[in-house]
Amino acid sequence: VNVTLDAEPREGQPAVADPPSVQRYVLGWLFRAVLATALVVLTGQVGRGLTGLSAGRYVGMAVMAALVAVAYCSAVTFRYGRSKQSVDLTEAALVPVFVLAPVGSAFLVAVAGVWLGTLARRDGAVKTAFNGSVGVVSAAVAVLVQLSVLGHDDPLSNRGLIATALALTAYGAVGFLAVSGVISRLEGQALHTVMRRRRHILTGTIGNIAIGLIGMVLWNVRPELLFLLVVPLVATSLAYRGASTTSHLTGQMQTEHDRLVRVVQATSDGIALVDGAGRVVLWNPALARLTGRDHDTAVGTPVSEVVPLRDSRERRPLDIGAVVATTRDTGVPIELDADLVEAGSGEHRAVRVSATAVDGDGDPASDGGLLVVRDTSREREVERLKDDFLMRVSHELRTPLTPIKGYAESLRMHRDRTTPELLDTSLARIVERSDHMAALIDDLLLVASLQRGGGLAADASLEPVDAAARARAAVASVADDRPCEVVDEAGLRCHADQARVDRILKILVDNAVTYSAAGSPVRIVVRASGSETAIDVIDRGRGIPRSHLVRIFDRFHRVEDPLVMTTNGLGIGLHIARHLARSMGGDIVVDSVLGEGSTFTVTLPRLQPATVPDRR
Amino acid sequence: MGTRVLVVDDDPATVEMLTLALELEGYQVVSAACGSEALATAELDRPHLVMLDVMMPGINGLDVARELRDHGTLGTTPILMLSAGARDVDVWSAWMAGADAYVTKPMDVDHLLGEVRRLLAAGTDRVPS
Repeated sequence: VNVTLDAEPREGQPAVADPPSVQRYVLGWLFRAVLATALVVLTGQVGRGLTGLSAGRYVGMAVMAALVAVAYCSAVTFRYGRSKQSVDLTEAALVPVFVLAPVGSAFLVAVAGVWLGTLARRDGAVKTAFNGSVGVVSAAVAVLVQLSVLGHDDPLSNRGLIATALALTAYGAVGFLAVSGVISRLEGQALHTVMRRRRHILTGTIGNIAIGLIGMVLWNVRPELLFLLVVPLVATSLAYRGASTTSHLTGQMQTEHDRLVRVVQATSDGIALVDGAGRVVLWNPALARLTGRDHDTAVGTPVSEVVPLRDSRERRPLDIGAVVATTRDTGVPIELDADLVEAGSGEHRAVRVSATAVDGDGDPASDGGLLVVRDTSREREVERLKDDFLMRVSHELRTPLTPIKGYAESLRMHRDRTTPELLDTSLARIVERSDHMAALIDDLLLVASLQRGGGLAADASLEPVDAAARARAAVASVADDRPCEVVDEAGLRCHADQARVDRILKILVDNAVTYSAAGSPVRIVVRASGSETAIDVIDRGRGIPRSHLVRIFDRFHRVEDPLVMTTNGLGIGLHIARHLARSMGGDIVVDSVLGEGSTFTVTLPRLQPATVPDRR
Repeated sequence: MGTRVLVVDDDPATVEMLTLALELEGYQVVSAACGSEALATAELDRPHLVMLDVMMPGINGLDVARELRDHGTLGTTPILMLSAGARDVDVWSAWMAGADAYVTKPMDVDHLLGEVRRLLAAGTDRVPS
């Protein structure tokens, strides 16, 4: 068995050059080949008895070298991860070389045969150099072993045959060691691991030697029966091929299996396979996370115990085991939305569960089901927010509509008793409430437009804006019943659109008033902050929980639970305010301590003193 | 002394409008802008009917209705829920809280006044003297 190396890239990875460690290794074998050759030459045996032979003997040796080359090319390939390895009949062909060629000349014939074979395989330069060098070293070692065991006996004597057997075993062992070394470098595994995994190669070596020796005995006794050797040779070759195919298929199956395992392990959906008895046989990490039950707990346990579901609407337990049994009996996949009860915390998580029947390889007893559990808590939350928002919009629009309709109807019903004063106040209310509704609808449309990536539809012009004056105006329009203080450090002006600044400040002051107790003060500080003007709107209200701070500018975001809400509003004010500030190159940030109050800070580009034009 | 109606709503314009509509019909109107004020006013003025908004800051309309139902002398006062909530669950929770009638905003004033008359007539025998 000649073992040769053939590294190839792993599937899906780019082909990589042999790593430097492998190149150094090959160089090492080249060096060893030179040394071994020198050693064999030093024995003085090489070439002895080569002269003065009949032409027939020379032809015979050439034929033997050719046979070695042919045997070398009979390689059957096995794969080992990234590397391939060939098994061939070289040793069988080498037996006659060692027995029949003049002692010492076997080295030349063997090396010639191996190099012929190596070159004929047209491998790359590195591979050829490596395989050739290993062949040279192996042949040298074999010759040295043969010489030391044989002494002066006839190679065809019993001792001679034993010497040949030992020599070729050494030949195989050197090759085995050399190739194991490369594989261990390519695969990054310990040498002994690689050798243990590939030890069947040595069996092949011994088989080859045995065939060769039997051939030699036959040659000596009944050369005409030598053709009978074809049978074990073909049989051996076929056996190699069979083993190679099996190993190849096993490798493919392993790759396929590894790929499937990676999918099941990596997917974010929980996956469980349930057997005919309703017990879990497969449990992936995502399901372990979702349920809070690890693989070892789950496998072998009835699925209904480890995937405890509750009907979200009816609020009662839902037996997933029965669902799997139904889908198994009917063959119809079932998909349902439910709540999964987490182990430990006992918390409910919204999930969508799909159950599909799985055939148990024709054995009805092992027919089972595949469960896929997907976390839908986000979707469920979004749905809830939508419902909640719709309810709020409905409420916010119905509220101003109520007095509008009420006043109009009352006026019509009591036309005769309507005084001019009553008419005036009623109509004023109707107009005022209609304006409020129109503003609300504008805000909603604005948010929808911002959501689609659209801009702020209204015109804007950047002009010097007196921040403190606008703050006072906002306080006057929204919080005239509050003790309000506007602190202005240096009469700062910002470069902004006045209408937008007004709207931002109105939203912020309105929030400050809404979320603080009646009579609680609102403070506004205008100050310089780098190249910007900062306006702090400070309240001593209830504050905002830390977990909400990052989302408070999201549209429709409200800190309150809608079921126990104590304030009205759609949750779009801050969203709009931030967009407005950013549209002018500014921003809004918030800082808040729960129970102590919040500070919203608007920053806008400051009008630089040098460029301040006189106010017109 | 006329028939007193307590109007509870956090929207001032709505309170104003309801006051006008009811006064034009000859009712006496007292009003409150939130739940706690409503309970205090009810205790003080002993209205013949309470007209309650549901969604209000602080104590909401449902809580007020429950409080009134648990109250000794005010327990039989007819309650008319006036709410912007138009879902089945809104009507159902109002009924569970003890409301006698439920009207969805924005309502027909005519219909509202009809409900007021109906509740007052049905509850004549239980109107506190």
